Amino acid sequence: MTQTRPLILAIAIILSTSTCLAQTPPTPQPAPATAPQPQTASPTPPKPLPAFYRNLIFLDPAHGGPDTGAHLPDNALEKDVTLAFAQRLRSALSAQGFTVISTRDSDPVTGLPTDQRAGAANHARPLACIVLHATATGSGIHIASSSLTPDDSAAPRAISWQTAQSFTLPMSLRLANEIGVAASSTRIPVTLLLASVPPLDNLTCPAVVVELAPNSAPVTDTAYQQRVAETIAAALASFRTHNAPPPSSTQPAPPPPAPKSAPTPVPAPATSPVQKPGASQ
Amino acid sequence: MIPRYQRILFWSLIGGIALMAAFLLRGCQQAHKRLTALNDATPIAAPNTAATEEITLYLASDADATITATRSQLALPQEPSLRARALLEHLLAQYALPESAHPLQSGPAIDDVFLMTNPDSPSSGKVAVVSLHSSFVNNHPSGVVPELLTLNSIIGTLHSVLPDVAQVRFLVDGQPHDTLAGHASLARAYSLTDTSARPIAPSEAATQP
Repeated sequence: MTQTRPLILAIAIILSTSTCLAQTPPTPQPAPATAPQPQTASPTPPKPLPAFYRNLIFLDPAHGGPDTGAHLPDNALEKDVTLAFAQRLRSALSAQGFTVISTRDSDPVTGLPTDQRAGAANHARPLACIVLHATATGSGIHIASSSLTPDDSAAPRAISWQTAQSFTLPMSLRLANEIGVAASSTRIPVTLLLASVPPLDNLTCPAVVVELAPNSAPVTDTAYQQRVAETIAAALASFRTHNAPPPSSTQPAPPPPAPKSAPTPVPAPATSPVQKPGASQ
Repeated sequence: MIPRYQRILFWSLIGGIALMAAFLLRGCQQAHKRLTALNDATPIAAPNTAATEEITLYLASDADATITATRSQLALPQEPSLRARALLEHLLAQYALPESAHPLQSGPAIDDVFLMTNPDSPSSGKVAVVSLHSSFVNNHPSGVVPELLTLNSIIGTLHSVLPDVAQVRFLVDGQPHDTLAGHASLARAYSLTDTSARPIAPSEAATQP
């Protein structure tokens, strides 16, 4: 009896090790730097990751923690207004069938660096990244796209962190325009701008800054926030229809225009502790 | 019957009260004028021998988020970096006036302006480095639009006075700084171009890929 125990133990270890090895996915190999060779009979390569998930939206309520943002009327802080607005926008987007990831769902003790926010967004590959701000000046909503020069060439495998947005900028401009059209139709004053607002230039997804400004109601007004949130959600649904039709639609769907090969900006920042609730392609 | 001396004393006191009231009223008016004049932070023109010349200021308006080129007369030094600094001081002083369309707090704004060769590509032209005072940055209104308008106003005005300079970088008290007041980036170099512009209007046609 005592002699069989080590034997059973050894068999159990061997079986568990072989099971683990069998379940380990193949490690993706980097592409060779040389010219492509003629294809030979080789095992099927792993399915590449999609350029983006068409039902996934990334929200970034700006500021947080010790970074309070602007001091708004009624003793409101910008970080609190952006968080409340993000929660309304999340509900409105969910009603449109989107899955939403947010950089923060509460006020963190320490601030989140903008590079970390951009790293989390780039890792998630969403259809759109919306950076939320609030201000006491102006009226309606201000929508800013990156002021970088658009780059129409094919994105290389590694792109500059400082100009990562330039390859996706045409889609970002269309997204800003889509939100602008939706806001105009709901009679919300809208201002479209080109600006360099961190982390906009570092994002590889179609990205805009939405700044909430007063409009016959302060930015803290919940009804006004809800109205703007529903407008943005409708605009994003329209953007999805125009730029990322469902895979089951008619013709062989052309590949999404950008990001072309889901490039990885370098140097890659530390991954954020953002939790992804599961994105559907 | 009131004695005569008491009547004289009474009317003398009434006269004294009236004089004191007039004196106080005039003092209040003068104090009000003095305080109003303090809001006008336009620097007093220093005596110099340079002739005034026509300059172009790119003035921002918060109401419609526009930058408009406006011509003005100003005496400027000849040395390029001093010239740029004097012009930017004059520009930002316009925003401290009570009727400004892009109100900013008065006070020193420009620490210094340097002109240098671009270290990354020497053939691409000079780079202007504008060092802002931290007091200006700390008191600047926070928001994407006001910060963007301030930067575009500085960039456009610099372009008008230094047309051979290709880029501009911003520092705060001589040190790199992430943003102007939490929104507009100061970490990148900006191309020195004509920034007079109006916001883009959304159009239905531009929604199609």
